[in-house]
Amino acid sequence: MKKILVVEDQDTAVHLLKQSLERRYYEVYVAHNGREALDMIDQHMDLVLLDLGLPDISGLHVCQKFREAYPFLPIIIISVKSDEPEKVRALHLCADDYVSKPYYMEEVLARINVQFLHANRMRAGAESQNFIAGPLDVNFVQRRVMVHGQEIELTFTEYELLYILVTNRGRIVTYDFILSKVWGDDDASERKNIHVYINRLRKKIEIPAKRRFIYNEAKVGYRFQSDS
Amino acid sequence: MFWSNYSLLQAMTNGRWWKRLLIDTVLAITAVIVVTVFVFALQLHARVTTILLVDLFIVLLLTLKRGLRTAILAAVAACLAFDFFLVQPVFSLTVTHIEDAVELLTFLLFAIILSYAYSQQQKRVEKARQQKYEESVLYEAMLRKQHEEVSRRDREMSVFYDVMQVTRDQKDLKSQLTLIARTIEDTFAFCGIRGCAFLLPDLDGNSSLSMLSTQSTSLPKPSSNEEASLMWVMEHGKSVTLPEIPLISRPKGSYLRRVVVSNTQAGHCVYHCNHLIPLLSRSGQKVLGVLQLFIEDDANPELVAIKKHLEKEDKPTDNLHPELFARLLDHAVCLIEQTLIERALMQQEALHEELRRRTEELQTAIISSVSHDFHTPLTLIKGAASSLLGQEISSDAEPAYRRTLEDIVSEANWLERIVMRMLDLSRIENGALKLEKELYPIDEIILYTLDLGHMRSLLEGRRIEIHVPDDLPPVEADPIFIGQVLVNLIENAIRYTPVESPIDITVQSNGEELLVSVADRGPGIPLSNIDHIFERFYRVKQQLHENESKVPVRFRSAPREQGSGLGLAVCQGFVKAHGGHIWVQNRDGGGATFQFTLPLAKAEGASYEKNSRG
Repeated sequence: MKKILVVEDQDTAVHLLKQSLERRYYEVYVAHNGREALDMIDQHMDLVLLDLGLPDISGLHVCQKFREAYPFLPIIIISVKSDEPEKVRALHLCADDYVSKPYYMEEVLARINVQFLHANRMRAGAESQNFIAGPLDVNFVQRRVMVHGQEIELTFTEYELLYILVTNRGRIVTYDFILSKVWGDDDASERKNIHVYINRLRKKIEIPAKRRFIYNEAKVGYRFQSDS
Repeated sequence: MFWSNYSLLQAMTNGRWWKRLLIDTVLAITAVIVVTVFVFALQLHARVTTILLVDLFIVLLLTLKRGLRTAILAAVAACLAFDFFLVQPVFSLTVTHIEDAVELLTFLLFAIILSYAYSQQQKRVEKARQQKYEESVLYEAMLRKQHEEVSRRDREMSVFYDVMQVTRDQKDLKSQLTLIARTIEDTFAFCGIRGCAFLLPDLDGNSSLSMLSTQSTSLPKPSSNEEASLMWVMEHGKSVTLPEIPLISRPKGSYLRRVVVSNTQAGHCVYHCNHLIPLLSRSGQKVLGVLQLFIEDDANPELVAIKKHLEKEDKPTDNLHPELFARLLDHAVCLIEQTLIERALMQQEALHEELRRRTEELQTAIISSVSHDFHTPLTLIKGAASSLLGQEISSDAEPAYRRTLEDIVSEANWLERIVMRMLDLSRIENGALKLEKELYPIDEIILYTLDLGHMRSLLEGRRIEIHVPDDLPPVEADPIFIGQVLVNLIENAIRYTPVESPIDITVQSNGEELLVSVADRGPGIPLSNIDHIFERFYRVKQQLHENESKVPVRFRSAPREQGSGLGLAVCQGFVKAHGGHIWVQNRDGGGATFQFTLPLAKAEGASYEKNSRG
């Protein structure tokens, strides 16, 4: 059974999450504050659901501690609207995904599923030579991209973008992460054009109204989803 | 005698006339002797004509140089000398031949007449010159006067202009009026004005007059008696001259004269009178304050002219002083009125501001408490109900039970949306909207909007047709806010559109702005509503669409409501914040088209092309 740590201070929310998760046959551990969470850090959780607004220490700090201890541990943060900047920082530094309050329980469960898939992949080691999702076929060795068997010409930047998105599929890749990987940290001037590049890449690999891969989490980042 | 009148009188008045007579005589005789000596020396006895001509020349020369008297003396002397030395019998004054006598007499008469005529001519010339000189002196005096007049006008104009300029730079009324008072004191000191003060009622509306402006400390504070006079002037709008010196009241009601002495640099000076002039508003209906003048000499004609001018008794005047004085007063009145108006406006504004602030505080308090208090229970209700709905057992449960759960989720969603929109509206109306614009291809924003969790559920089974040309330039927009605009418009369209007809999202560009349209095939907007549809809490009155039941359960609005009446108001706020505008029109063939514009950044399109490394 997968072990999930729920870090949340509101009893009713904890109760709901616990109930729903246990029904899906997860083993649920609960921490009501940051300290309790950090006390459980060596218990080898499979996933952490972390509310950013904790009563004692900042959720971001807890998140970072867990990330330091487990590089591949999926961490999903739960945030409210007013925590927007904190959420973006957490996603950039340590978290894999987020859900906003008020959430649907199915949404939470779906996100958890995606993270487990992603984590499995990461644990399996390096990416295979090919990534195939529906009509899309990316060959990482030859840097070739095919859609419906037709080779697509991507610019250097477009390929790098696609590579980062595909290798981090299922997770949110923050704008800052994309920038640092594609252009290096020093080129902040490209920050404003990121949506334009993504738009061009999208037009090349997606099939309008039929097959979507790249999803925008406005003001946070992009998410590549191969199993929609 | 006429011919000697002028020179003789002048000589006499100078007391040297006899000296001049002596010199004339000596000169005449000497001249004749010189001629005679020459005649003898050159042996010219026979040349009578030459001798007479030379004598005549000498006589005329003397007329020119010394005047008529000398000339006559010389003529007589020449006659005598001619008779004595040249006419037979020689060396005697007797004449034997009648011809000689006639000759001599003719010469004498001729010489006298000639020199007289010549001297008369001289005199006329002299007189003319004198006249001309006198005229030129008069003319110069006139010119000087005119010049003085012009320069005085100029000075006064420049005084006025300076006052205008400087008072414009001064911010508060007190310093402006102080400046005008100082100018009046400086400019009209020659009229006997020794002090000047503007007295205004308290600007906050109290009736007591306060000394608002005064030049020097030498001016006395108004005594209680003066204050009474000031109040009288304020009430009646008429000037008053307090004779001689102000009085001070004594306890028993009797008055004692007081001599007011100021210690100016020039020494002691006594104010003889105290003139109070009302400052009438330009409409002439209100007394704004009083101008107090301390006058040394009340009878000064310039001052009288000023007073008359002020009282409109002496309207047309060529004297500029009263005019300047009146202008300065007018200017002061203008400034006072301006300040009063500003103050009134400010008070009104402050009142409005206070009202607005309180309303806002209340609004914010309500909204934040509403949103906070709603948010937590909403999370729980939604989470609980959706978790129950998600349970495998729920599919086997009684339909009524499931329906109840669905209603709970639906109500929670409804409340959540209202809360979010109220928050949005409060941010728009408080000016707390913080746009974080990013350069976005508009289709990215449209896709982002359609990808939003609740939009996906809402659009299940719906057709959305997106028409975006490939070559559109990216737009600077906040994706969340523009996304929210699209969400609201699409929700609105869905609410009124049969499930089988598509909703069209079209984007066009005219190079300066993007035009985004969301068009439905619903019943359209009744014309009477079109102008009000973007007002908050405004709802179009019409029947719920029969297709409402086909909307997925989560987003089915509560049966009692069609919309919150907030969505379009939020849209308008967000679009305006982006510098665009939004409107609605009915579509040909039925339905409504909501359109909004977003301004395009200038010359922004090329930068990403250029920087592309690919």
